[in-house]
Amino acid sequence: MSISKELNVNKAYMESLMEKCADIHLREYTAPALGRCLVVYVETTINTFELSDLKPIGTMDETVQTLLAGNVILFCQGKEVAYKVASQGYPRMGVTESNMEKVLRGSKEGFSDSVKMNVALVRKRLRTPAMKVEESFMGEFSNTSVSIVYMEDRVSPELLEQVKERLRQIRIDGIMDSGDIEHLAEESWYSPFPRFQTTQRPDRAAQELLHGRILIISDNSPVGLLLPTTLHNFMEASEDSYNRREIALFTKGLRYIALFLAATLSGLYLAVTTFHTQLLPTHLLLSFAAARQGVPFSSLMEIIIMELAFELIREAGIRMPGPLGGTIGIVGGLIIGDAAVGANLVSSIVVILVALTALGSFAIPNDEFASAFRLLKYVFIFLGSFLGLFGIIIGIFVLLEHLAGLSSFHIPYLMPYVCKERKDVCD
Amino acid sequence: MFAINDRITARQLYYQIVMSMVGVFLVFLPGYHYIYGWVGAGCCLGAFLVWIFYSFFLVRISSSHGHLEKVLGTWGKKAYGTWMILFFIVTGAFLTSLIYEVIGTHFVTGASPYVIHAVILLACVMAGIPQIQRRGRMAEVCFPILVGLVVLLLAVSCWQQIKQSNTFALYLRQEIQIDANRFIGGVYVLFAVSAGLWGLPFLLNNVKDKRWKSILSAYGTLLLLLLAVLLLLQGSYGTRQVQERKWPVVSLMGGVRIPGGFVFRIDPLWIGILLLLLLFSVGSTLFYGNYIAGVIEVNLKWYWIPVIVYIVSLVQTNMGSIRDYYDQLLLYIFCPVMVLFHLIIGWRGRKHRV
Repeated sequence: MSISKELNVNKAYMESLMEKCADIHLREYTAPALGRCLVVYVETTINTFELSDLKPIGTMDETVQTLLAGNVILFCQGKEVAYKVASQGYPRMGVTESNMEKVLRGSKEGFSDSVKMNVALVRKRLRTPAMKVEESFMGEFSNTSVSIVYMEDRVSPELLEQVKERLRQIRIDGIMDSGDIEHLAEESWYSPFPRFQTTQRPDRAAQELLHGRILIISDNSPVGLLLPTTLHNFMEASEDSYNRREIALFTKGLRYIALFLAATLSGLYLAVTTFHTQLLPTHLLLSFAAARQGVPFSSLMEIIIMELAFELIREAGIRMPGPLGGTIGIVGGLIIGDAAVGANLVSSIVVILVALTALGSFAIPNDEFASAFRLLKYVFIFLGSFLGLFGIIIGIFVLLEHLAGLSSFHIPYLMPYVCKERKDVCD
Repeated sequence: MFAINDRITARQLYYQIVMSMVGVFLVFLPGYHYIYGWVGAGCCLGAFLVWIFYSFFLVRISSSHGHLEKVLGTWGKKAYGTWMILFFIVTGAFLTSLIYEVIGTHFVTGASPYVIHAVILLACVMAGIPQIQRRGRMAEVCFPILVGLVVLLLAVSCWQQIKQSNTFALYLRQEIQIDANRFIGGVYVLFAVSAGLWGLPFLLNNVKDKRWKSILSAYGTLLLLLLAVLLLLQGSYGTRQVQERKWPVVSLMGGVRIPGGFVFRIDPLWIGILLLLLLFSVGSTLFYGNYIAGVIEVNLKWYWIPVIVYIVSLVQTNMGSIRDYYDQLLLYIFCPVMVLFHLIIGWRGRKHRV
């Protein structure tokens, strides 16, 4: 629908459209330079505004969309266009430190809830016109602003087209977080492994853009999505590139060991103590047996109880506000663990194992990726418990088969370990 | 940019061949027939020479495999494809049964064969999905870890044997009578066991260049590993024990100790690696079975081959189970018939210029 020259017509249309929208205000003014005009705005998005920064809008649909995006709209008598007036926009959080990806070295800035601010944080690091930002709106009712950010000369055109096509296909009422986009754009659902890498750090996002990856940022979400994603990406922390190469390589190696421990340590313990006691030296075996003296449960039950207890502590720690979360961890980990050993409910070896498994999963830089291995841990526990080392081998084989079949936007998940040309691997 | 195009690189082909066959070569061959000690080493060399020509021949006839209907006619194509599928089913059943026996002896004693066979095949089902790239990736990831571990453990074992055993050098120098019959027999066995690679002509059209080099180097790697194991077994056990023991390589690490004191024995780790390699081999048989079924346009759902393999692996005849008579089937039926098929394809392909 086009905008009328008659201010009253525009006013009537806006009033009918915004009927029972108490947060949207229409005010008539007479300005010396513009004559009679109508200002339309969403409550709280405006404090004061200046008429120096005006952008004309040609259609009523676009006007409504601009208004609901948090801008002020100005209609003038005798003009067939409306004007977008820059204003403060919707309330939002400012730039804060990222809670999910803490680093010792590197910027402390984290993404905020505003897509514009997030793009600006990336632009601050990549001050080049080669960094392109394509904006679109998703969600039939939410009209959420979603930006696709990429380096024009680094990104693969086929990949970019695929991403755009995948996003175009999304049909949903509302996008409340980048997580919604992630789930809807995924190739297949039958895997615990995430196919999008999330980041809350603009420096990490900028680094990855330079590697030819694509960043998707959604409004109202402090989490950006990086794609395509491989297993190796999840094992890298942003500070790896700031540290010395030797240190970075060592910590990466350590994370891979942590990954293996997080998934298989409990299962291996059960396999060895149940089926393959010949593997262990006698004194170690005896100390295991001594630690289990008086414990009424089977080893499997012991492990399951402790693992579930730890999951509960972890979940409670996340939900608890601020400093209480840490307290829960200490209370749960130390006091409950110690009390359980004292009451002969579990053996001290199992407490150590569960703690090591937990440390392993926390050492993985990406929480979603670590969660996949936390889940797999239970599969390995049952396999180890019922089939011994054979079960663990079966589990590893199936896991490898599964990972070999996964891809993220046609990029094999196991890159760069399966890359065609080794010389193409760069850091 | 990667493409889902069902094509793999020559390097991935190399990894795939080694991963598919190394378990079979290491577990099944040492001690079998004349494959032991220096005779076995000589047979390895002989087999390599034969394979130089045969792999070249396989690459030559791979283009004919793209036009099988033209070369063999509709029924000929179906007969050849069905024969190949049958071979892979029987081989898959044998390997499943072999894994069960290894597990039953060393890992989970007394477990029901119905359950263990089912678990093995369920684990390998995904590997049997006819997606070449997926298989190539898996081989590429597993190769450096598993083959690296095999080499490492063999080196540790060799070092300990030389250092600690008084009989190692003695056994290694043990004289064995070598005659032409034994040598030819051993070479033929090695040639027949490489029948697992005879599904390759179906696949080679999907491999980027340097195919012959990949096949040959993969076979060379396999024979080198076999050679190392044969000599190590000869030094560790002597001729008689290698001949008498069933799959002597499985118990090779029984006496090996590693420093640190946190692990008393490492043979379960060794057997675990061998099992992983054998699982890869089972996956290969399912993969080729499904792949060839697709090529000859037999409407076989992906689950049928594992189901048939499961049944065949459990069937008991008056000759025993499949692991008791598979070698006879391979040496006297599958191998000659497949060579015959290849010769016909080579001859007809030349005639039809494909």
